[in-house]
Amino acid sequence: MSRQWNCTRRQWLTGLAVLLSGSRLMGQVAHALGKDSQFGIAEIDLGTTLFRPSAWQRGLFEVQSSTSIEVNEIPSRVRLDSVDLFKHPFTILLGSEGFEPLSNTSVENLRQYLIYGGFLLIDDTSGRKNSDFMVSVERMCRRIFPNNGLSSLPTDHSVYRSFFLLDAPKGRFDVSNQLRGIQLNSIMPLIISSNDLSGALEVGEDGRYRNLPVPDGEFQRRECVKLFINLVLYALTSNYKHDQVHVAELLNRGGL
Amino acid sequence: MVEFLLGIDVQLVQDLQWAAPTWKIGTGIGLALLTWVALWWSRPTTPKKGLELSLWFSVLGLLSIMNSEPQLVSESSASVDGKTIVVLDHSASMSVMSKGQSRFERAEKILAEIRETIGGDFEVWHMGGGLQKPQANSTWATESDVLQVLHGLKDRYLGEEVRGVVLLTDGIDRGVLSQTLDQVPTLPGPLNVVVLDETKTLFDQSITSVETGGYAFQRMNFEIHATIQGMPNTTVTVNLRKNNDVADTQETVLDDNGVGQVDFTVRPLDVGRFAWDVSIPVDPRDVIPSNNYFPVVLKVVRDEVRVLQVSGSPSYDQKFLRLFLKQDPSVDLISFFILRTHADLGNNWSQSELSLIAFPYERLFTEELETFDLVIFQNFNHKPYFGYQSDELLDNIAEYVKRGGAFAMIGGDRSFDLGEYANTPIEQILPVMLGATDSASELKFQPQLTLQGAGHPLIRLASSDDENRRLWEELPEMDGFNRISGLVDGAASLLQHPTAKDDRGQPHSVLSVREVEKGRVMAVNVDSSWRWSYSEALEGGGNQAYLRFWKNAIRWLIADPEDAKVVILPSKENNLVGEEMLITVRSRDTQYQPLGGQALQLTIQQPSGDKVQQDVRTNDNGELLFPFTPEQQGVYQVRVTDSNGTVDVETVFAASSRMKEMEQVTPNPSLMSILVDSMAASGSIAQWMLSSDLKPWVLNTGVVKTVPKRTSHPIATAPLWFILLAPMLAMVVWIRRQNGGR
Repeated sequence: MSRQWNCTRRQWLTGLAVLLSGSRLMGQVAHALGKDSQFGIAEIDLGTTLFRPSAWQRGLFEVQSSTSIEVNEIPSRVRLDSVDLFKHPFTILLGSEGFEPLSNTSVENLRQYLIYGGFLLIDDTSGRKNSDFMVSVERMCRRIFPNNGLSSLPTDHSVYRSFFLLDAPKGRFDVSNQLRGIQLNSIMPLIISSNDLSGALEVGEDGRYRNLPVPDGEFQRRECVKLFINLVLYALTSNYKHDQVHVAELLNRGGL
Repeated sequence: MVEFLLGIDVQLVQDLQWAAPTWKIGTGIGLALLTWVALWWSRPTTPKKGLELSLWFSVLGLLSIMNSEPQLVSESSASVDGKTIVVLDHSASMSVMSKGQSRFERAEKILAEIRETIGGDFEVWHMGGGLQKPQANSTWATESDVLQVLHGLKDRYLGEEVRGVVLLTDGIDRGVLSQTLDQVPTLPGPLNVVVLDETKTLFDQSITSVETGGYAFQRMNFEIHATIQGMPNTTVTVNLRKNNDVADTQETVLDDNGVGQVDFTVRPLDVGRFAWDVSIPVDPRDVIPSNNYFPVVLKVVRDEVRVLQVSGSPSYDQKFLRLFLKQDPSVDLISFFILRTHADLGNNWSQSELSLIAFPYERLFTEELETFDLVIFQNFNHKPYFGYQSDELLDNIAEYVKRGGAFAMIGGDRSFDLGEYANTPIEQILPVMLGATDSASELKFQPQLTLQGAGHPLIRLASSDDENRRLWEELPEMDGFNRISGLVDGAASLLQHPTAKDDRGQPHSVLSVREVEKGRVMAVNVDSSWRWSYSEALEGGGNQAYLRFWKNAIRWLIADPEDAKVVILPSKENNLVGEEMLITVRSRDTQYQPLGGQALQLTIQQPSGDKVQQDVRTNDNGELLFPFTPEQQGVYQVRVTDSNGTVDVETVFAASSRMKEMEQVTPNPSLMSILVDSMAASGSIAQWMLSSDLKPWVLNTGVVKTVPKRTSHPIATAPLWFILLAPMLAMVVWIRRQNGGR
């Protein structure tokens, strides 16, 4: 497993520009109205699940430097049976192993959380199809929304064009060329990646990426960064890109 | 002999009547009986007492008969000329003026001449949709049906003969006479038709109808369809006006029948009732100028609330507001989120990788602005985008609000002072003053309801005051707030910081509202209202607090006329003159509950400017029903106020005098000619003539009427009574003398 942080000249220049522009921005205004109003990430704590805060820190850095979103770069952890879940509208559950069925309280909390605006990204880090983790996730989804099954996101879904124009979801592995999710009304508050997205973003203490995505290496990582930014944008703007006016505009320039 | 005694030929006597009133007859009989009883008591018993009292009884009886004023009634008969029936056309076309006189006035003159020349009895009728009794001040009939009138005459005078029937008309029939000539009945006498003709061809251009389809949707095109009638093959200019301002002008060429059509396309931007009118120029020869104008009131309803949400940065606050707005089927949401600023351009993503589009700010805040009901600036700093156009575009927004638009600014690190709105046109419309010494606070706090907020519909989360206050106290804390210098005059603070003060030393408002001329503005100084969405979800209660707050906010901001506390609802927007309508006024309190017993003043301004005013009071259902009959053509303004000035609402409705009767007003002698010919062919006597060329009347002079004659002959003073009384009194005197003079 590679633990290198491969950085091109272009990326260095980009980082420098981000830092410069970021410092200029910070000099102008305060960050939102309190840290809690900034976009942040909470990892779901099921007791046995995997945590990769460095991956989200890295991802949030990219969000901060590429978009207008103000971020709280320190990820937190939250239990599904806790009321604190409702303080974190963007949560991530990741893992490679199966987990015990959720308590009724957790299921009910999660259902309310997703119905009323929360977003859950599920990242299967196993690198395998039909992993134990995915079996547990699918069981969890059936309990939360018995009448709304998991479905694959179409290639023109807003997730693929919320910020970048993407063709397919990438990760550390290339297990699936589709994201899946649960549709509620016109939005998908729960999306599943099967390609270990967090593995591609995770960095070590030395600041270098821990893993080299396969099979396309840094190009694939770049696509992972873009997918993560798109997921954040989608969580905040939902089907904004499918608003008629935007579709028309994108059509005009051949982007859609 | 009997004739001498009663003074009348008894052969003619048919009846005996008592002319005296009942009281007089009764009093006379009573006095006679009392007198007789007194005599009976006062007379000593003698051999002839019985005879004397019998004579007295007869005398008193005769006097009672004379007191009752008897009279004999004799009957005889006399022959007089038969009656003449005159029917005056009273349909609206008879109001057409010529040389200072209406056709009807000319018909009345001819009637007076007939009375003089023919003499005898007359019965006069009016013609409308049928045979009608003439009534004082009656309005013009909206129909004229000759066949119905002829059938009416036949039925009315069934089995009777008259000298003649005279029909004074302009010959215009709105019924089916021309197709049913074989159904014309036999009349009770010869028919004389006088057609009130004109000395020259009439000129009349008119708007015969204007159709709008009932109501229109805001911001959606609808057609106003007008039908014009006038001289065939001429060109007519047609104007469409709104509130007396010309909105569109078109020309139409009238076809061979003199009919033309015009379609105006209108796109209403505001909701409510609006007065429009279609008009054509009035030619000096036009005999009915009033039908060149057609008022119409159009009700424009809101199909959807169109909201523009502009956010300077995707955030949780923007996300939850968008979710709410997108899920509300009554909202048509256009969102623009600034996904990338100049500060983010350092990251070298290729433009082809991005799905970003340009922010069409110039188009949005110029030509498209009026299409929105509500504009929301959510944590949006205008300066990087508007650039040198800032003043112009922000001024557009301020003017849009003053014309009736709604604007909300929601807090964040790019709002209020941090969004550089101080000293801009936006500051002029905000409820708050900018230029605060500190721009923001990042300390959590629990917003408090203000006194004004407690009664304001915008932040009413529950129907009861206590429950409302409790709900607000239990909502999650806010993460921080944008500081302001203070509230502007006329603004209302609805929520405030529990401890912080503004630069004026007043409790710091975090939610305030203000009415700016016709528009409304809301300032939300926080960027964490999204937390209210989860407050009840924690307890399985959904996101009702958040939904209610924003639903209330939008409803208040757009000031929907139908959502006002007092609304005026005419039963119809477009009415006919003379047709009764109903004006309903509905009153609700701040919690939208019916407000009964409210004293209001209702004022109806008529097209002439005259006003009808009435003090009224709502019933238990918060309603009052006011029947009203418009008597003038034009637009009526209805206004409802209260004595303390808290209620002042108004609306409009229209009344037009359009009727089929006035669509074609040229006299039609040929139809009357055909009628007369048809009747003559079936054996009836009939003739027609023009009023300008009157001919001798064709009458059935052999028709006479035997009139019964009753004559009363008073006999109270006839010789008979004195001849009877004299011997009786003489015998009484003789009997008394026989009894010793007592």
